[in-house]
Amino acid sequence: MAVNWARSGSPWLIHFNTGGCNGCDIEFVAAITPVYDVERFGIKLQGSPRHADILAVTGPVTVQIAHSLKRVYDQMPSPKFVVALGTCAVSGAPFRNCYCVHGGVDSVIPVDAYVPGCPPKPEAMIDGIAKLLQKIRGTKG
Amino acid sequence: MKFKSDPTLVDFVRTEVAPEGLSFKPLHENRVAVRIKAEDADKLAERFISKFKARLIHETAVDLEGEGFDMIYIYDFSKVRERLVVVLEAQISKDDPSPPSVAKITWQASWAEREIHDLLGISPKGTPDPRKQFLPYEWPNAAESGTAPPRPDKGPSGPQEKWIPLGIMPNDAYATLIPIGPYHPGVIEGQTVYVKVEGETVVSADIKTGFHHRGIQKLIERRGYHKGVFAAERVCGICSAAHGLTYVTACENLYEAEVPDRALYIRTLLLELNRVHSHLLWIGVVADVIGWKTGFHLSWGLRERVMDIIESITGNRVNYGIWRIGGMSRDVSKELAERALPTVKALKAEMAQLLPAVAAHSVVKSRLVGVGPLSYADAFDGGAVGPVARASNWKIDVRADNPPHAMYDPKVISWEVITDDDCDTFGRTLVRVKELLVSSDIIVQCLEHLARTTGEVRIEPKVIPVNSEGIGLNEAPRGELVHYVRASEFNMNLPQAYRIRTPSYRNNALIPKMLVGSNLADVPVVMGSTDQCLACTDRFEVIRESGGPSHSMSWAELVALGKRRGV
Ligand code: SF4
Repeated sequence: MAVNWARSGSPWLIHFNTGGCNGCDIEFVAAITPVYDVERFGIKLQGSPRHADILAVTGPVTVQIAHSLKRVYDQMPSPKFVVALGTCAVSGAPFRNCYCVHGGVDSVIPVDAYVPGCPPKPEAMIDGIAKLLQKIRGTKG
Repeated sequence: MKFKSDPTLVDFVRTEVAPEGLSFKPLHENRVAVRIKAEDADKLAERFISKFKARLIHETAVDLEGEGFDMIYIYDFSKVRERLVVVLEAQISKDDPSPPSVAKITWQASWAEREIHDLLGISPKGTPDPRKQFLPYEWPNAAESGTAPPRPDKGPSGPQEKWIPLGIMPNDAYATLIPIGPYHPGVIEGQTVYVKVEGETVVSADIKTGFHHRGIQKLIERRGYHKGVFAAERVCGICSAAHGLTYVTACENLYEAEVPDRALYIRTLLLELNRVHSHLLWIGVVADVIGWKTGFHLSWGLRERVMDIIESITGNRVNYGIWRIGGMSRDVSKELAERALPTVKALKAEMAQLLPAVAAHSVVKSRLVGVGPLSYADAFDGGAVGPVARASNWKIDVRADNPPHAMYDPKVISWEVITDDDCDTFGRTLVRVKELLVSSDIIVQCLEHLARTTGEVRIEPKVIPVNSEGIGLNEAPRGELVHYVRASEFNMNLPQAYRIRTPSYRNNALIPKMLVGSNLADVPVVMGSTDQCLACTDRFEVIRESGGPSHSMSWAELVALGKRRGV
């Protein structure tokens, strides 16, 4: 329990763009700048999957990148959480069923929180991540 | 306000430019379509480039189903006649789809030829780089994540072998191959960059992108004209205004659309706001890459205020959704314009302070000056566009040469094209910072006009005529953006073909060239310096091997080049 409490106080985030239009990515990066400032939740953007607790995925998973997404997920230490940012990551739309698109993030790896929107505003992303943190606090550790 | 069109152009093209043409068809707005025999394509390319200094904008092809393919070559003649664009069309049969290669004359076409090979199976004769480029190498199987049966092991001669970059031999014991990507913390989007280093110096480089290929051209062809606007915006979320605008100009170009002046002002306003936010974003990203966090937070802080203005005008921050064929879906009210004006003026004063912060900051300069050099000649050959070309002292800007609408006329809105002769990353930074100021001037003029006047912002869309072609040209934040649309003969709602050529598609190709000779630590800066946008590039896929046959360098030359840069 205490571990979960500590974990939810300082989650380290890694960001992966699986083929999105960059719209979600710039909103995500905007969320870590001082105007929105996710650091007040103890959230820190991390480079290496091996240090990360939460994988933030944007964009529809294209056929080519699905494999890399899986690998990055596998490299993260457990327990790990995934948040899908943007409609593309949630379900693949508007690119669903395109010949080169595999689908939403949950067609490759399990997802813990979905933030729909095209793109969701930084506030919505922060809300999604905050909800995920609540969920982490509630999980039995 | 409409462009004046020049009625003598068809004669000019018929007599002087392309006397070989079989038929000549004036398209709207100083664009001329010429039907030629496929065999003449390379001869014409040679003449266009050597005699008229024309520039190939794009080469592509359209599937005519039972009747073969139409090869399309779009050339920019704006330096010869005002806003003249010549579209060459040549029909080829499906039995032997091998027109002569244009890439052997102008290297910029080489990806385009690889692309049409993968998309449509056309293999141009004598193309310098015939390798497969377009689809993922595991095509046609789905990814290894469970939906498709596992890929049969192809053995040592499997397709993956093709991805070992040229010039990197297994017995190069003294060189190290460093693959970067497809996931890399320094690069937001998915791509793999192979750099071969000797010590710290990069001796050759190669880019494999395509991880963002979503098939968006096909998507637009299947959605129809009016829904396509929204798909087009989602080619790239950063320059969504540029894609939205270019899409609607291409469709309006199919017929003589009389877009109201007020809508054109709003378009200009949004395009420039988009440029400002994109350039600020870029400055922040490069500042972050060189470790100048203050610069990152400064420019992203400014950017948020631009985003607020955009949001107040369109209701959205990223994909605006207000572009319509024939106008805009929303007006900018007097109050809105008046409220935005002081903000923009204050922003301009703050952005003006970025210039000395960059140009006189010795630490920033030490990381940018001389990094990622690109000479004028290389930029010209390689077909650089946008700020990358302008930083190599090449004065091209679609807004001046081939404007998307008449509002960029200096008599209507005063502005200037910025160039720089540093030919490196520092120059690219200066160009972008100065463009911020020019763009904010344009924004102020648009807002003042919008606050002063009222009017319609949209006309009723007309029925799009069959058998017509449209070209949308526009200066996106990263450079020249082209959308080509051909109306279907059978269906009033769906285009027969839709093609997009983005600026990053050209500029990314030059990255391996800029990387050669640089320090390994500078690789992210050089890659960032073109403001590469892979979502744009990968609406199809790009591969570039360092030193394709037309540009090959011997091993000794490469090493010498590396030593000269003195690492
Ligand atoms: S959800 Fe929308 S903004 Fe986000 S990546 Fe997809 S298309 Fe782009």
